[in-house]
Amino acid sequence: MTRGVLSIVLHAHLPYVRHPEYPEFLEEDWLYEAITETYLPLLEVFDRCVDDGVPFRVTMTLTPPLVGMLRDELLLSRYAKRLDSLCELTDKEVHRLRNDPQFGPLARHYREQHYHLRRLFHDRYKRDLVGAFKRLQDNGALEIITCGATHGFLPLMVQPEAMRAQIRVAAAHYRMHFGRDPRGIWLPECGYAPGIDRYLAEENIRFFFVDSHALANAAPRPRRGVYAPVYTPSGVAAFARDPESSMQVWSAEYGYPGDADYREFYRDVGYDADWDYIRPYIQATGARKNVGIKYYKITGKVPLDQKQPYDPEAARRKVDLHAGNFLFNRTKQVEYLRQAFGEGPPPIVISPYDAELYGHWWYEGPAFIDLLIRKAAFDQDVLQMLSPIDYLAMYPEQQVSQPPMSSWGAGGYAGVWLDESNDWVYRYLHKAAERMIELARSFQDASGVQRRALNQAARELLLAQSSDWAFIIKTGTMVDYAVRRTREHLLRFTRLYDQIKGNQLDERWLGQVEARDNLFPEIDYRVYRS
Amino acid sequence: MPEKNQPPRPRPSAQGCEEAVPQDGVDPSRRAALEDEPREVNGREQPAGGGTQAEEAREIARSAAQPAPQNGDLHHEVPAHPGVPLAPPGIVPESDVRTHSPAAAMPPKEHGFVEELGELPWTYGDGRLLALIRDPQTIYVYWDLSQQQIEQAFGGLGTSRASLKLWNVRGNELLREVEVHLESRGWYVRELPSALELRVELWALGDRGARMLRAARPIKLPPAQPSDVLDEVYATLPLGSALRGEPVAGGRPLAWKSGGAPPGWERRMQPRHSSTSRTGGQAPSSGTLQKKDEEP
Repeated sequence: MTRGVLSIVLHAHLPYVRHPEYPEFLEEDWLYEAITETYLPLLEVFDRCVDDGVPFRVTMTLTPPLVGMLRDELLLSRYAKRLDSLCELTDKEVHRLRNDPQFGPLARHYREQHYHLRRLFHDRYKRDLVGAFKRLQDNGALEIITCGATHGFLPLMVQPEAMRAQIRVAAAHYRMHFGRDPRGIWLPECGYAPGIDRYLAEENIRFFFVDSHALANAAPRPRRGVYAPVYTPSGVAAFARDPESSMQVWSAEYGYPGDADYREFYRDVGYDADWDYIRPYIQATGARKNVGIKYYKITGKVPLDQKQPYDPEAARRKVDLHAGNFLFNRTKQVEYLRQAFGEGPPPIVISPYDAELYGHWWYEGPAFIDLLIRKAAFDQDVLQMLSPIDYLAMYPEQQVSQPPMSSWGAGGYAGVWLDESNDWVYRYLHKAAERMIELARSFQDASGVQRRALNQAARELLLAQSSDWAFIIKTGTMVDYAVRRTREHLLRFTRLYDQIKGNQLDERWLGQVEARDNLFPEIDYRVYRS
Repeated sequence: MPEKNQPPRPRPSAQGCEEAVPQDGVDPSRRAALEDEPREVNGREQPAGGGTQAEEAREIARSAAQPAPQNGDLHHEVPAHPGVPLAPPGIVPESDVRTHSPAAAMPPKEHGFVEELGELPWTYGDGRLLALIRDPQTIYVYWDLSQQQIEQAFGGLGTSRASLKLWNVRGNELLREVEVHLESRGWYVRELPSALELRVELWALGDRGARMLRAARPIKLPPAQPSDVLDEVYATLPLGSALRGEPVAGGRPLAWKSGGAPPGWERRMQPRHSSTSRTGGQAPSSGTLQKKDEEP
């Protein structure tokens, strides 16, 4: 008998990175790596489960920037070349390691894998991954939810019009690509503040996610903790992350991905191989980079040069063990909670993760999802995998409560996106939002070039607002690129603002900017009108 | 065959490097003027842009500005980037900070379409004063004042200083007064009582009087602990009925009243101030494996 609900939520997001002005651009690799290592493998897992008749429900965010990139012909053609190049490299690796009893089989494993991915990409999915995800939603396996238009951190936006635009543009984009209204949303970084739910309700979005402490500190205090949703004052349901299931996967100390048998991310042939040999597959500048072919396992807390060879079969056995362990813990958790709840709706355990964890960072992650789905379907009857929307349909009666401002970032609030390293961006973002609202009010029904300029101004503002830039600046890994993106979008916005206000539009430059920052071709600047 | 005994790869030294891009996106000459300003006043409130984290970020930015290697001896360099940037640090033991190659982030001009966009302005001079919530005990206040606005505010006051006044909106009680450096343009105020509705004002205080420059829109800090309100109101909202953004009407007690989350759940869900990842630093409430009678 089903005593509770498990909801796996995968948040797939990448910032919008597209540089047509250059033949190659390093940061575009984020997308290419994620397609190869996460999106294609996850699609295959889901499709195989459907083909095998395995019942399951997984909730998945596909953020608007990611959908935009996955539907962008330039990026897709560049990805296809990248995949060809990887296949070529795996051929060379098989030849190079043909007499090596330890690494030769691994080289063949990678060749088979990459050729298989290429067949998936071209033949099965016809280069349309968004369409493939949509089919999984249409047949009931996935519940695809949306996100802020450019993953802007909403609690640090001061103008209501700016917050509303992030939601409304995202909802319109979702309708265009998925042919229906979004029923749920992943608020960027789980960033919530009282009042944001009103903008969700305006789009008839029925649920979103918050971190655990948002319900712990909600008023009135939720009776069922984080194991039931609450209705916010506008009627949109807030579901909270279960910290325990999160910890089992995320934690550096306890998490499965750090197991010694799993593949080591940082030992990559892009760094290990002779430079002359690997030169065609690394950066055009000659600098090395990860190419995705890795021969070593995590081994333990040892230096990179002491890593041991990776054994896919041993890793596979460990995945099986971990998927079983995860499910066992959830069933015990649900049984305990059911007992504590007594009567009424069953407990729901929300387990959200960044999708790119599965496959990109944790190579065995897609296999973990595969086994978890199958074990949940066939090896137990204590819990049922559902989406939050299913839970609301089954149990529409829920407590009303107001969660406070919160996020899932370190510290639980806005500290990741607002500290001494990145606080400088907000005066510019707020000014640009104020100016965009002014433009939308001043130009009621623009047309022609003026309308194009107004729409592009809206795009530039949205792109500047991406939380990824402040996050990257804070974490200090690719600061120059994040600063550059913030500055350029703000400066392009300002130039457009000045040209529109001065009625001196530079149509040639506008065309170049439109071609470069081409997200949301459907955008209507009047979304900023209050 | 891959090399099995590769030495660890050191991070590049910051020595001798120039910062390729202004880290805060503003004119470096204007920013340099700020570096003489004190970074800390009383151990709690700090001007924006200072502090250890900012220094670390700048150091990393300087490190990242290393020129790309020009020869084939590349076996000891660091990875150019760690791949998809959004996964949490810490899930893999070797998740040390990897630097990004500026050569790729700043492509050569010969590829064309290099826009001369200029720099972000130092000031808009729009008189804005704004308070942002960082966490239940911390706000960040920034202002944007023209030189003329500053001179007007301080004119005739004699020896003067700038100060933030924080008011508890309920009761109109002065909560704290913090001396600030106007040139810093922003200030963190820490160790505030959570769940408070605040109004922030910027004042010019002098020997011969005082003037309020600006007042910011009130903000309400989030609570840092569970609510004392235990009233339970329920609503039934079928998916077939559209939401309209209006408050949920009514609410009523529920038929099922027994049971609830295990006692003390609220305390276990509080965020920890961890410096790692998006887990929020939460520790599990029990071990990896649970027994049936343990709390989840």
